[in-house]
Parts: sequence; structure tokens; C-alpha cells
Amino acid sequence: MKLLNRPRYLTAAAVCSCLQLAHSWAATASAEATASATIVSPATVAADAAAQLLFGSAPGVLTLSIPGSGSAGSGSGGADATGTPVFTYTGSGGSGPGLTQLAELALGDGTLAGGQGVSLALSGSEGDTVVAIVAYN
Amino acid sequence: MKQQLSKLALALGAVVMTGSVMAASGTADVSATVVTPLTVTKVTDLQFGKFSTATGGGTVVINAADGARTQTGAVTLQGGTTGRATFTLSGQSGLAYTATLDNATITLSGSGGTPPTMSAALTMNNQTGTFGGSSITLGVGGTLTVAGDQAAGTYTGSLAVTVNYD
Repeated sequence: MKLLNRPRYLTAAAVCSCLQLAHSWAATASAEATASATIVSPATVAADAAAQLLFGSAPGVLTLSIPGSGSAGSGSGGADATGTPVFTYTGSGGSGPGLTQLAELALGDGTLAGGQGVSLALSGSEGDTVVAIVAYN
Repeated sequence: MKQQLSKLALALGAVVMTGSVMAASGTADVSATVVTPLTVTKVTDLQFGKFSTATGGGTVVINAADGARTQTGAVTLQGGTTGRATFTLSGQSGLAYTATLDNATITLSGSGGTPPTMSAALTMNNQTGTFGGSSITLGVGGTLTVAGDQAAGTYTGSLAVTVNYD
């Protein structure tokens, strides 16, 4: 009787094995991605002479001049009726200390009305070097 | 003679018993279910972007749900490409899944300088769920710890996710 039963056990075991293999193949999957970060040089503050901030003839209009051997960019700005600063600058590239990008603008106390003191802080980046310029008028 | 008849009777009895065992039978059901293979495909990498650091250091955080970047401490965010890692999951509709990170914390290695590495604690969204009729986007973000004197340069590392049917 043992001889008669043995083949049945073997068959059952083989079937279970196949089912487990098939389930295992379908139930797990994985994938990989990369992670990256770039640290740029710490910010530096240039001397006041690095930038010259002038008031335009019309109230609320600013003119920014950035000396350097790089090609000059162009910018325009001012303030809306509530005094919120509005300023855009687009650099045209080039080499040397000329800025190629201005990232943010912060306006100190005061308004842009002519005759009042105002401070303007600008920061940006040129390549991987962070540049900050503080201008006073 | 009597003994021989007894032996014959025993032999016949054995044959009859054996015959009845060989005729016994039973049935069992056999079934199998084929499910849609589970697949995971990387779509985008985890990118912390460009930033600078100062005394005290800080962290750069990439949100796993929307990829938004924020910072803490003396870290100043700059430009560069930023975003979460995303993976597309697909599987049998109606089946639940669980995704796991092979390593909850990974190391990003730089090309030189000291310290040479940074560590990032990873987070996930859509870590668990149930497959419907369309694929699922799994997001991986993280919190990158940056030392105050971390050397400038590019740092890279890798992460892996594994997804199983529940």
C-alpha cells in the first residue's frame, strides 16, 4: 500500500512547487533611481561700488548699473502704487564679473518716491558662484 | 490437507482485500489564478538641485507628494533642476500593494572635499494602495542633511524601491 500511495504524494508536491514559483515571479518588482545634489560656493557680498543704483526722473523708477567686463544686461523696475518693489533684470551673459542672472530682489525700508533713502539688496548667481550685491542710495 | 485449505483461504482473502484497496478513488479540485505581473518603472530621479550652505548647515527637503523643495537652517536654495523621484506602478486591478524602500537612508557622495558625503532620509507617497484600471505614480522625496562646511561640488547616490502584492 505504501508503494501505491507514494506516487500520489510526489505529484501533489510537484504541483505546489510550480504554483509557488509562478506566484513569486508576479508578486514582486523593483526599480532604482539616482539622487543628486549640487552645492555651490557660499555667497559673497560685493562692495557698494560694485553696483550703482540711481533714481530715474519719474517717481518709482529705478535704474541699476552693474560694472564689469561682462556684457551689459538690461533691467527695468519700479514700484506699484503700494510701494511693492517690481524689478526685473535680464543679463546678456559674457565673462568677468558681469552678472548673468538676478534671482531675487528685496527692498529695504522706505519708498521709491524721489528724495527718500532706500536700500536695495540683490542676489543672483553667475555660473555656480552665488553673488550678492547691496546697493545704497 | 486441512492446513493447505486454510492457507488457500488466507491467500484468497488477501487478494480480495488488495483488490478493494486498488479500486478506491478520490477527487480533488485543482485551480490556479494568473495575475497581471507587477511592474515598477522609474520615471524621474530625485534631485535636490543647487544650494549653498553656511555655518551651522541645514537641510534641503523634497516633498514626496509634489516634489516641492524647501530648506531649513543656514542653507540657501539656488537654481538647478529639482524634483522627487517617481516610479510608475502597474498591477492586477483590485489587488493591494505595498512599496518599500530598500534603504530608508541613503548616502550621496561627492567628488572630493571634506566632508565627502551627505545623507538623505527618504520618504514616499502612495506607499500602499490598490490597483485600479490605471497605473499608479509612486513618489520618493527626502530630507538631505547639509553640513555647514560641506564642500562645494556635485553629490550623487542611488535609491531603490520594491513593490509587493499584499
